[in-house]
Amino acid sequence: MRFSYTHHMPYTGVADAGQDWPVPNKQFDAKKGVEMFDRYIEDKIYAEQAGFDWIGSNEHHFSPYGMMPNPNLVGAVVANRTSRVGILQSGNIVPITNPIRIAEEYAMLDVMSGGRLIAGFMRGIPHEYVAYNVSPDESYGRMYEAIALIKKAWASPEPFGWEGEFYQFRAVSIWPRPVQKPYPRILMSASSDASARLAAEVGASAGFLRIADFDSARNQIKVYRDRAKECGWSPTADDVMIGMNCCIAPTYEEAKEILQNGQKYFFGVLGGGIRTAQQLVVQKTRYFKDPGAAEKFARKTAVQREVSFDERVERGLIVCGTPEMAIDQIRRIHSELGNGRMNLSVKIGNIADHHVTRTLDYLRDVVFPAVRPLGEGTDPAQAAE
Amino acid sequence: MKYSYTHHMPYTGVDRSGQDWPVPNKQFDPQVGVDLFNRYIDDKVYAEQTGFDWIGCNEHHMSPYGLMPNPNLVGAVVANRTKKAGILQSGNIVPIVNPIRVAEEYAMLDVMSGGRLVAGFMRGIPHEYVAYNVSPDESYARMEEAMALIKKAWSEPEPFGWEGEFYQYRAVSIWPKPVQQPFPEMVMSATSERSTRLAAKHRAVAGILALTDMDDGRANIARFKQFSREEGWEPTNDHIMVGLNCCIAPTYEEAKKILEEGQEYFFGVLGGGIRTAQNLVVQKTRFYGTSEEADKLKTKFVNMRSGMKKRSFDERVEMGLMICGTPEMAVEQITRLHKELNNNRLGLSIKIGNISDEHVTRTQDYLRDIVFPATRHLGESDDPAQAAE
Repeated sequence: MRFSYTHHMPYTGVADAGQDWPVPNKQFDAKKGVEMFDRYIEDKIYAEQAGFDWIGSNEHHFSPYGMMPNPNLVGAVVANRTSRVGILQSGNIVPITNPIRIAEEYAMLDVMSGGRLIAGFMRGIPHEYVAYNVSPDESYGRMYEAIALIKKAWASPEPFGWEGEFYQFRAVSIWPRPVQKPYPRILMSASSDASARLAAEVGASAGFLRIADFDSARNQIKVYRDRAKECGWSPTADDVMIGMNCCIAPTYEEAKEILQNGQKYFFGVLGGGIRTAQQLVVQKTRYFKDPGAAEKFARKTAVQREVSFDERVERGLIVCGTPEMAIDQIRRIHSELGNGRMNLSVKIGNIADHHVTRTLDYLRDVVFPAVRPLGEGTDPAQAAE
Repeated sequence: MKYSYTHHMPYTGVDRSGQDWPVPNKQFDPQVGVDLFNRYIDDKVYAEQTGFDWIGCNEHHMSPYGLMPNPNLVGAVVANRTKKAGILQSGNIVPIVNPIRVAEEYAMLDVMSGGRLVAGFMRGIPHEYVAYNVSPDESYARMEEAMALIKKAWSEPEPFGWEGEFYQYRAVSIWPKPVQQPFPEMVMSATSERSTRLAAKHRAVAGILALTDMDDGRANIARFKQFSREEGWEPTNDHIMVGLNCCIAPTYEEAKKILEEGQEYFFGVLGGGIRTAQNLVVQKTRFYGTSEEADKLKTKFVNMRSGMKKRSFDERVEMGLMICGTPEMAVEQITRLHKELNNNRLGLSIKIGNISDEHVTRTQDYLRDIVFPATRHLGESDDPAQAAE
């Protein structure tokens, strides 16, 4: 089992950020922001020492939810200051950005890290489109074309032109090129049927930021594997990454209190403006391709609110408790889903940074040594069942 | 006198790179690239220890000329690994990228550095437009609108919309905001009339790169000061930054040899594809403004190599267009430059072409040990009123 550390670097300096979109930035206190940013970067680098295999940064705009409108700047620092971990950019929101720029920046990161980039291609969440004034209706069309263009920019041996529906370039030959051949490993979300199929078509590993329940997660994994098979390849367990919130403490009660408060801040304060924007976008666009996808998305969010915390832990949707409990929970997820990777989100809302560090230390000292062997020697075909 | 360290991070792993545009990247050897990149970043970080006030990164596309298609990624590393130096992004090529993205990334850099960003707004050189398929004819108009938008994104207390000719946004409120209020310090080129007007309007530090003679430099500076007065402010000499190549060695002959070979590589190998693209663009566009300006700049820029060939290396050193020689000679050259142009800022480009990285470090050490201590005082006693003359 391999572990990924995602820290989306929230601004936690306000008690109430309001429900407007965009979130007014006059609430941003520069001094606090500087300290937080610095601390968060140190936490990310610490994750390598704590035994994580990948360190993740993601893109968000116009809200205290995340302070990385371009996560590649932070990825660059992490790449320069680490030596072994994968640099997971999870990642640039492809449809709202110049794809050649993404190809170039990801190539820079692969060079800066000596070939450790994991290139995430994200479709993003609806409010990001509002921020950059790109139509969410075009998100899949743009994704398809942009990903093909980026892969070509990475791998083409000669300069080439591109005359597409959304993108036109006369002659492309990016400098630098990535280190990894034929191109960097790719990771994409597989949380809906449409995105699971796209991930399979692209040849990407599949990521789930969080799951509503084991059955729906299993279903998405099946959609992903079936489509991959149709496209002529077989994902291994290593290609499936399940995401969970994670909080470890000396007792379950303490871990629960910390994480519950963090989640309250996450949804109530950090999420306010985003929900406003999403409601606007979701009502008026075809952002979600499949019928029922919007309902599924709403249900995932609703599960968080309608089901009690203890119940969610019981259902295996959160890693929370003592180190020994965490080991059991991770083992159970693996036995349910056969995933070779987990993405642990430890900084949830305004959880104190020293609690974040404490969780990392528990992971390093107790949990990782116990669960690393999970999946070793697994037959990929068996993992598919 | 304050010093700025510019290192554009060239790929020097080829002996020849052809004259095509774009330069085919199959010549890029990833292992060589990885080693170069890491060395260059360490050199930039080292510049703080050798006494530089600013450390600069710039944007270039699709050529071995520079390995930073987005210099902000390198700026982020430099910000994280230094404590005092200004993080000079010189810089994003504004007309070819989303201005809100520029505003956001620069704000990130200002936060990551604790308020040390020096925000460069570049118009770029023509081939960058070909790379991103943006019309060079629109460069000034885009630049002007984008800069107004970026400054508003940095400083506006409430979310705002923007309906412009080139850019439209429903509602903007960037997170994070910059530390420096109301704006980070800014740098812009002041080589053409129109860009000088823009620099004056935005109260930026005026960058004079590619000095071809002192009279020209003096005229550019005077023009910048005059335009600034028309905009209602008085630039100090801290607003004047000249950029020169710099090579220091135990003897003049050695410094000359190193720098001449580096310049040969710079123009011949690194510059080949770029000149092809520029010839294409300059012939067919109004990138350089009026046809009079275009002709003037064409001579200076597109034919820079043959222009340089008209004057010998020694002549150009004599004219004060390069810092080259022993440390003592460098002190004289810098002192003389300051006397001529009253620039309190000097940008030194040391990694020219494929000059060895050991020689780059050696030049930096000479600067730290001998040249900077002897020249820091230049401009210290400036009376702002006198500076205006």
